[in-house]
This record gives sequence, C-alpha cells and structure tokens, in this order.
Amino acid sequence: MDVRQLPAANHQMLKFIVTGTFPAFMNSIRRIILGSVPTIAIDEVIMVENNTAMFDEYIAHRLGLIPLNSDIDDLNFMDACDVCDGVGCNSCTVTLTLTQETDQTSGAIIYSRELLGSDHRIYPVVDEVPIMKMDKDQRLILEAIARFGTGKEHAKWQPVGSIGYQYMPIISIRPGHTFTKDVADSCPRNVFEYDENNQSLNLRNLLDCNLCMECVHSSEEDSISVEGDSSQIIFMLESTGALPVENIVTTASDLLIDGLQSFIEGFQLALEKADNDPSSMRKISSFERIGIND
Amino acid sequence: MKPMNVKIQILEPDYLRMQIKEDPHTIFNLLRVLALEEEGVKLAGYARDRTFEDSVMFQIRTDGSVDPRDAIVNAARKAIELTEQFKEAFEDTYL
Repeated sequence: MDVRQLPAANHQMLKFIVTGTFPAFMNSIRRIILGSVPTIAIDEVIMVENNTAMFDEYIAHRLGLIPLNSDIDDLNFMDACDVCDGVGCNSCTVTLTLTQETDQTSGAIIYSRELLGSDHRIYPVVDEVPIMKMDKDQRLILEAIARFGTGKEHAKWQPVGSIGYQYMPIISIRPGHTFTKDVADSCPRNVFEYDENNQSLNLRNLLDCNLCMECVHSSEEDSISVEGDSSQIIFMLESTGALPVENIVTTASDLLIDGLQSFIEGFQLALEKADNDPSSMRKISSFERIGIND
Repeated sequence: MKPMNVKIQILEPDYLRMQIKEDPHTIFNLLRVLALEEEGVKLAGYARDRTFEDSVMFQIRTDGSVDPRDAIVNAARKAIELTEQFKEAFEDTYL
C-alpha cells in the first residue's frame, strides 16, 4: 500500500491517493473517521439569563455546533470516567461561559470568541462564528458544559466537515480522432484541453475528473472511454479544526485496529461458550438459513 | 479494549453464523470482502438484523476444505495488517 500526497486547498484539508487498496477498506476508514474519532463539543447549556429574541434551545443547539479545540489527551470520556462514574466532573467535562449585555442605544452580534473556557486549552477554533444577533437592552448569560463524544452519537462531534473518496479516473482518448470543442466544454471540471489546429483533445487535469461521463455522452461512440480504477483511491477530508487533520487519519487507523482486535477476542470467547454449552446456539429452522445449497 | 459482544448462532463444519452487537458496515463489510478472498470460502456476507440498534448477522460458508472459524479469523488478521500498512504509509508521507 502506498500513499501519495496531492495538493490541498488549505492546511485543514488533506487529499491523497492510496494505491494497492480497495473500496471496502477506504470506506471503513471513512466511517471510522465520521463515527468514532472523538472530539469535544458543548453538550449541555445552563441558561442563567436570556431575554433575547432567541429561544434557549436554539442558542444551545448553535453552541453545540461550534468546533472546539480537541487536541488534548487528559480529558476522560464522560461515560467511562472513573472519577465520577459518568455523572460529570472536572476530569471529564470543561465549562465555558458566555456573558453579553447590550446597552440602551445599540445592539450587537455575539461571536464564538466570547466563549471563555475554564481550561485554557479548550477554545473555539474559529473566532468569527456568529452565534446570534442581540437587540438593544438585552442580556445573555450562560454556562456551557463541553465533553468528549463521537459522531455516532451526534454529528456535532464529527471531526471532519467533509470527507469522501473516489476511484482513480482512467481516461483514454482514441488517437487520431477529431473532436468538436463542445466535447471539451461539456466537462464540468475542465479536464480536457482543446487543440484547435488538430481538432484533438488533450488531458489537462486528470485528477479533477469525477467520473460523470458527460464527455462520453457528448462525443461519438467509442471515441472517449472513462473508467474508475478501484485499486487506486483518491481520498479527501477536511477537518473542522477540532483536531489536526493528520491526527484524524492516524487515530482512525488505530481505532480500526482496536475494533478488529476486539472482534477477534469476542469471537474466540463466543466459540468457547458455544463449545461448552451447545444449547446456547439458537435453534434455527431450515427455511431461515441463507446460503448456497449444496 | 472490550471484546465485542459476539453470539454464535449456528456452527457446522462448513458453516458459521453469528450475531454481533456492533455497527455493521464499518468493520463487517471489510471482513466480508477479505473473507471472500480466503481460499475455500464460498459465501461470506452480513445483514442488519435489527432496524433500530447496532446489530449485525454475519455468515460464512466454505467448501469443506477450510474451517469457517479459521477463515474469519484470518480475514480479521489480514484487515489488521492492511490497516497497519496504511497507517505506516500515511505517516511516511505526512508526518
């Protein structure tokens, strides 16, 4: 297996080609990243005072969606906290406060930077997330409790904003064939370059191709073929900023290894149990069995 | 790391069916593909057998020359190896 780096738009994005792999494996990595890589997000809000136009619940929901820096390792999972047994304590939760007041003359917009954490390492990664607009003479005071969680529980704990993969495109153009400019223009990703002198097509940005087949439909039959190579996969992800994007992939790999090892262990325990007590296996009538009949 | 909650439902020399309380598609689609690549495996598949909870029914049938128990464990070990290879290649490129 080989990983080759591709240029990405910013430092929170990764784009790479994995060769010698297959879709089921990359999909496992994708699903683990979405569902199992933990981040910190606000989960509970205590409203002290709110006389703004927004309901408490609206504000609480918006606060939950603000990405917080989660690159720390000494905060326990609340469910597995051995200090408080899942009730919530300083070892598994972090408190953030927000206090905003407007005067008699003008309103204000509250941004995420107003959230102040009890732990200086937990802060909103983006300062300019607007939370709400306040009118004059209004007041909002609240205490927000943040904790570790996973995307399986709620999407606010997903470490990535977008993630996906696609097959490596393989485009072959029949040599010597003449094309019209419409074929090059039909591509929404500008993969082709049109050579007016020879009336031919050249590949310009092969990796931008998303296998939409528009060029195949708008050209003569068999003049262009587009295929995807499933053994080479282009993988891309964009972090919300909660975790450094490289850490997301390595953590996901560790979690996948853990999951597979826990399956092997659980399977061997189950086999022992089945050997010791054959009646623990369910009696299944023959029509329920699915499989190949010999 | 807690062992997964696995329950064997049918165990025959060439057929194994089990129920696992776990998210189906993340791990078991990978295991299914790798198990099918094992020698002597005729069928490997999974299904969501409960609609509203994480549960998966996994089954594997071999041609008799291989024990289905070995086939599934080999597939899982191969998946671990692949993930380690991927992690190593990723770290070589980025870290």
